[in-house]
Amino acid sequence: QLLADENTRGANLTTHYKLIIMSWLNASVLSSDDVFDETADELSLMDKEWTNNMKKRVLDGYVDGADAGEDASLQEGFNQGFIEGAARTAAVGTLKGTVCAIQSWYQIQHPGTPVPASVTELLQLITQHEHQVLDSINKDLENPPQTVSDISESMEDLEVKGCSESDCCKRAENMDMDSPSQPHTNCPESVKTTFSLSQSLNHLVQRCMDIVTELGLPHEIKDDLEKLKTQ
Amino acid sequence: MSDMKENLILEHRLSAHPDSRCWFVAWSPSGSLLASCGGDKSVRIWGREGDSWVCKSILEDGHQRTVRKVAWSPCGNYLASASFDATTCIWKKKNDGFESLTVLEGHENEVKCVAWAPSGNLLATCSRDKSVWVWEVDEDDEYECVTVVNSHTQDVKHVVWHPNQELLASASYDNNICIYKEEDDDWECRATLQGHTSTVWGLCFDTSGERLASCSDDRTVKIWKEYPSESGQDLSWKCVCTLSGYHRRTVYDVSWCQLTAALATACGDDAVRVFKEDEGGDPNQPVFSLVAQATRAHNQDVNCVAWNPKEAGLLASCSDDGDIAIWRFKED
Amino acid sequence: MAIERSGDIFDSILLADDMFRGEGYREGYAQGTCRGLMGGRRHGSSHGARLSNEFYFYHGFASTWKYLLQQNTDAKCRKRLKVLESLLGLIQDCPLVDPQSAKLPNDAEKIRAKFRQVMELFVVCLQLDQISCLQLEQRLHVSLE
Repeated sequence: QLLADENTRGANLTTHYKLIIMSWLNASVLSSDDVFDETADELSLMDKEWTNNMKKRVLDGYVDGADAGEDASLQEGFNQGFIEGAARTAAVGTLKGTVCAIQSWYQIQHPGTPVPASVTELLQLITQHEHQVLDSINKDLENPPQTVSDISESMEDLEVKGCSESDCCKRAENMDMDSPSQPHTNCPESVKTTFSLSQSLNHLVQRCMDIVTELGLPHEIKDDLEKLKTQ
Repeated sequence: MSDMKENLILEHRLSAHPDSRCWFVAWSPSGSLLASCGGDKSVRIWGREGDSWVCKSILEDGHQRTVRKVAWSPCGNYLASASFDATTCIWKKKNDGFESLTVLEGHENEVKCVAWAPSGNLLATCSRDKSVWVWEVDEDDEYECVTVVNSHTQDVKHVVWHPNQELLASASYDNNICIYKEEDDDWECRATLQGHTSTVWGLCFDTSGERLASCSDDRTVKIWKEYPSESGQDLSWKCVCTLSGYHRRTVYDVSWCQLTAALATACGDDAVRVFKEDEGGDPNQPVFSLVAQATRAHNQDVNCVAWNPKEAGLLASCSDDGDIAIWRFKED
Repeated sequence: MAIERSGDIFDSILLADDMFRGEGYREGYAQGTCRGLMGGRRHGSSHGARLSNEFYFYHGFASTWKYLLQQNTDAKCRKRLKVLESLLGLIQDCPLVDPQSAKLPNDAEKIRAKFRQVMELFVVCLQLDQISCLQLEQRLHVSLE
């Protein structure tokens, strides 16, 4: 429907300027005595050329506008994303640091004794989880948006007419802090991933708390861990 | 020039690290021993016997790769060796030889230099990993890292301590010199000396510590002077003299004699040169003149020069050709 | 008269040119803004995620060790606690919510340097496989830069 709107608007403008042209032709060319039969054909030819020229103007403006718009908003997007991304890895980073500290503490306290399997296993699971979280964020990078030339091409074909504020911008704004990746599609799969990621984080935090109890470590560690759990 | 050459007389030439490079030489605080290190992964200790210089001991098996620098503790009982194997070895004098006391690990890759603070309680190391580390030594010979500073953006080539203050200077591939001071248990870069246009390879304070000489891949030597700082916070060092036009290649090392104030340089053009400050000049614009040079001091790049701390005019140099040369500098 | 009028007409044609261009520009600008926001957001989230993961790892490590050491009163432990406090302070002060902050790169370097000191103090006694695990951790972060 966007495309239709655009064409209507374009057509109206074209009509408006066609009238001006006609009046100009009337005033200059037609006012002379040499009126040829070809005039009608010439008019239709000029009409076509005019439309093509104006289409080209629209396209030129479009490409410049797209570049300017992108330049102007890139940093804002980066800042927004940075904060979102940072929020998504804080818990797993803290948890991993905690388990690493416990592991190194154990080795210093019990030299020559192997670290309990519960600790090393947990560390492995956390590392896996960490990779899943980072992967889910990085997936966005694998679906880059269309390039300028792609869009110009589609413009030429008059098949795609870009987005408007009602479309992707809004979707980007609505993308909440926890929904990972694929903003292009309203993807229930990614929501599921997020849910299972936070579930598994809670589970890992709990395992770490159990270890703290088992080893009789200061309760403050558990208090801090409790804060990592997501509701 | 030929006149000058006679001012620098070769006394001895030692094949110190045969079939390898000799990277660095360091005189013991008493001036009686000379330590050298090289591409053969060893540290060697040289001493005078009668009229000649002999190898007193070889410190092997401490390192897996090239030993780049060696430093004596101020008491003369310890040696530290920095190696491309990313470690620093501490050796302790025992009877006639040295035994490995501890290995300092922590740098990510090649350790380029090690230096002992005048107090003997602190040790600084620097590395290709761009960082400078300060280690504290306790009474039980235990070493603990007290700081890691990342003030350079590239490989750190050299570290040197101020002769009488707890002030540390470092030189880097990023063309800069950084000066650090301890603040609230942490060492912070308090001045960055910019002026060289290429890698800074070596640094040396003068006896008072008020001036610092630096040498660079840009073929110059610069003299920096400390000024009272305007802000009161940061340290203020200004370049008061640039020696250019003398060196045809990279200047790898600079040594300021604590006894005579003569300045020696080691250069990639195989030469050893000695400069002296003109007397009666403006201290804010000192002028240095070339007073001696050995143009073919070695067959290859000269890596290091070191003035003997007790015997005025005794100079050691070493080279990629694996040799150590001992020179006698005589003033007119 | 004809000439005068044709002047007007040419102006109008130029005007038409600008108008069409302007139309396209506005459409393009809107599309470009969307693309910039999305692209920036993607890169930003990846960067933010990595940096925060790294720093919170340090934070978790340091604060856990702080709790583990707090009962000890000997001089060595006090000294180590001070180093941990200093690392925690640096992380606290780091503007992780403001990626454009001029302080950020310098702070990040300071934090990394301080953590390396912490590593040396707390990990040096560990067995080799453990050290490599933590160093790997660091290297991982470095390579992601």
